[in-house]
Amino acid sequence: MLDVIDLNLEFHDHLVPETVVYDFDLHMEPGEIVGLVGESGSGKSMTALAIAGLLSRHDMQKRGQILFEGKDLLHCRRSELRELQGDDIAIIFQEPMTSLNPVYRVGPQVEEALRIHRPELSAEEIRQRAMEMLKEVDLEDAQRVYDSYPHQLSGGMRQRVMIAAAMICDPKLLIADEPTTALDVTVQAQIVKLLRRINREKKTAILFISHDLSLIRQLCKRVVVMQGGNIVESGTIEEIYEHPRMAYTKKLIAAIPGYEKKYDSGEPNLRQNEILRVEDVRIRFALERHSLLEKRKYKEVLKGVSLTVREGEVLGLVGESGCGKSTLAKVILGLEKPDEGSVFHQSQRPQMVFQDPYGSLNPARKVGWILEEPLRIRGGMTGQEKKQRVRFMLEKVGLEEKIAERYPRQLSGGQRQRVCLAAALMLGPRLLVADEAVSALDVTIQGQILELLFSLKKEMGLAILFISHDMRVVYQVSDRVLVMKDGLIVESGDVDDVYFAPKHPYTKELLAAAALQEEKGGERDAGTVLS
Amino acid sequence: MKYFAKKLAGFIATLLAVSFLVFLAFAVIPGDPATAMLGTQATPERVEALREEMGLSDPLAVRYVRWAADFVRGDFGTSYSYHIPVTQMIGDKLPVTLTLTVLSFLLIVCISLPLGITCARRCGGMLDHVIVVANQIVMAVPGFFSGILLTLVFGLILHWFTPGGYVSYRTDWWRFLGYLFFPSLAIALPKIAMTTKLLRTSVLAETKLDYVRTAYSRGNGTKAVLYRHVLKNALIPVMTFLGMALTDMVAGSIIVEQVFNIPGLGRILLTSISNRDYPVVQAIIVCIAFLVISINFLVDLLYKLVDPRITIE
Repeated sequence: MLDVIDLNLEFHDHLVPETVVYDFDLHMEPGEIVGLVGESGSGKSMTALAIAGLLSRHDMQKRGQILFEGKDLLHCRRSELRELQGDDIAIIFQEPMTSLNPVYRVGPQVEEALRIHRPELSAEEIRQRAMEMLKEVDLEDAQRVYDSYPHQLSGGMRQRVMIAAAMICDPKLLIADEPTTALDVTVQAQIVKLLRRINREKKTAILFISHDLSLIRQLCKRVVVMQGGNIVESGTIEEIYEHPRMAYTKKLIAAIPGYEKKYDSGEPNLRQNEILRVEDVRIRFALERHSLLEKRKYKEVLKGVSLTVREGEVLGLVGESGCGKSTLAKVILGLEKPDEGSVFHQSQRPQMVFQDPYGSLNPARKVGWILEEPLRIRGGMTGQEKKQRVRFMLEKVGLEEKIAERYPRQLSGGQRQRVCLAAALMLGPRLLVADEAVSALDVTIQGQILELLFSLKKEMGLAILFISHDMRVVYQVSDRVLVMKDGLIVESGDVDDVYFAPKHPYTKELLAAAALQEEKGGERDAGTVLS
Repeated sequence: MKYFAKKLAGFIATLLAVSFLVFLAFAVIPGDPATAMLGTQATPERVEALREEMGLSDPLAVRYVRWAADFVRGDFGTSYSYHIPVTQMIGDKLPVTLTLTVLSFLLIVCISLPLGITCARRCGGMLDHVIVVANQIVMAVPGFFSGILLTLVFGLILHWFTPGGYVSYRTDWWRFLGYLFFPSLAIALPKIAMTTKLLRTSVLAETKLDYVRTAYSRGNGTKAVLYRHVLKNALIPVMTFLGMALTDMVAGSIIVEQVFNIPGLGRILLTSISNRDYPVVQAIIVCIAFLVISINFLVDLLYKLVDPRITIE
């Protein structure tokens, strides 16, 4: 059905042409699910966009052939391509929020492809079909969703809407470009399940693009591994996962956060001094009133949270978006005042590392200036001393001295997160709060940053509150773990106890979604893991 | 509906606050209106009698309520210098200034929207470059100066209109509009340039967003993507700007009225200020404030129509 032969993609907007995809080959049968895996910059998304006919940039050179049922998509007329787009070939993207038009209701957006490709249908027939489609993607209250705007839906619902819109013309090929990356783990699992059902019932072929090897493993029969625009290796799931031939594939598989302790946290139980105590913290936000006479309603974000962090330990905090974990972090840092309860710090205030290393560094300032900032605020240091401290910290986080003279945009994601880490450590805090600190990074980079974090921890005797939605990473790094849901800590304890003998149903659900149970059992059946 | 009610409440509150501030400003300004009316030679007894008659010796709050109540009834007081009701003085000038403003606004919308879209569609092309450069030049020229230039070129050289040959709307509505065309253009030109530039940038920025890619993936052509998906989003910042521009134009028309010799609000405002004719000045300022606040109110309502994400804090 789909044959990509010798696909080369080249940018021409710089002086030197930059090739992003080299000699890419792919063959797909109808009804097949193929995985395309690689880290950011590997060219996997470019390839996907090329197949979907969405690379129309003038400054891009496209060579080779993309044959869809015998028709070359790279060299056919635009109008011929448009006939296929949305009809036989559909695509869904990573960010369902931004991929939907914010100023139109969901219904018309789901219907759009049908209106374009089946002009003979009446408005009522089209509406009927859209409602059916919304129900098919498990959106229970289809009428309400139909009438909603994208911002009124949750992330998972938006992605279901995207899938409904993509599937409305019954395409033969669905390209899914990181469709679950922006979603919570439990939602991720539901979307994967939905895609599998669509594939089974409608015989739609799916090209599933992801950086997440464990996800690919659950869903696909065949997989193509890409790196730096090249195909490194391709084969069946068994071949790739059990007997990887290439070093890069091995490295990627090794970097899948698994069920083993990679980071030895030393001797956490020897030093029992409490460094932070949070007691029964409650916080609520006022909701918008519907009329002036109405009594003001509040939403409780934290409903009485208590925790302690001891010196030199790593406390993991897991939970899905909206559970209140970031608010808790803000309370601990003193950025948000609790309505009730109290926070006790031993010694000085903790420092924080944020999720988005792109957004949390001032783009208009050089790295050196950013790193000096905490010292400037505290005062009492000469310019020379500050520079020395910056050099020292840069070396500590494994960056070269000259980085101080660069702007954040000139650095890679991993380098930026190292800078963030250095900035947090400038004043020598005893406690570091890491809020999704590695979530935005590629797996191999993730590994490097975690390793750095732990060598620094050992060296400086840091305690870390490690907040993440990623069950596997939390397992790897934590001594103790807290599970948070709807503003409450539902389970806490030693990391092995919580993971191997979960008591609360929510913990069990999270673990199942992260597909940990499967790896623990040692046997794998892609068809039944999530169903 | 809730949005509308809240905005309406805000609208009324702003109006009250503005009217009070205007009243207060004239109450504390040095210079006594009674003296101003009678001249400096008048005896203190006569001034005192007039003050009593005008109610100037009552407490401030009482005077404000009386003034505001009169205002709501359409009684703006009597001009100190001309001794005729202010309503009568402003009555036939207000339509002139309003027409001027509305005409300029229509010119802005009708010229800049197509221009902005064309620029964005042919971004980087010859036409785009020409328009961008022309924009820069027009933007740098203030309205009154382009007014002088327009008078020179179209009035004195080409004779398309007679400078100073103002025709009242009471005599001939069409010739009145014809005379106002060039003044409106003078007011509109810099705003046309800014709106074009803003729309061009806005469309180009929107085009890079993810939902545009989604639109293409469903088989839309370039035109369909632009008009069905991008335009409504791209107009949101343009609307904000147009709202501000419109209020600015009400004020800007005052100067252009001088250049083109149009008997609008601007003219009486200037003479009344130099005559210390407070009731007239007060009435005009409140009128302009009312216009500005109403425009902002309408823009807020339009916002809600275009952008469903808007809620009030």
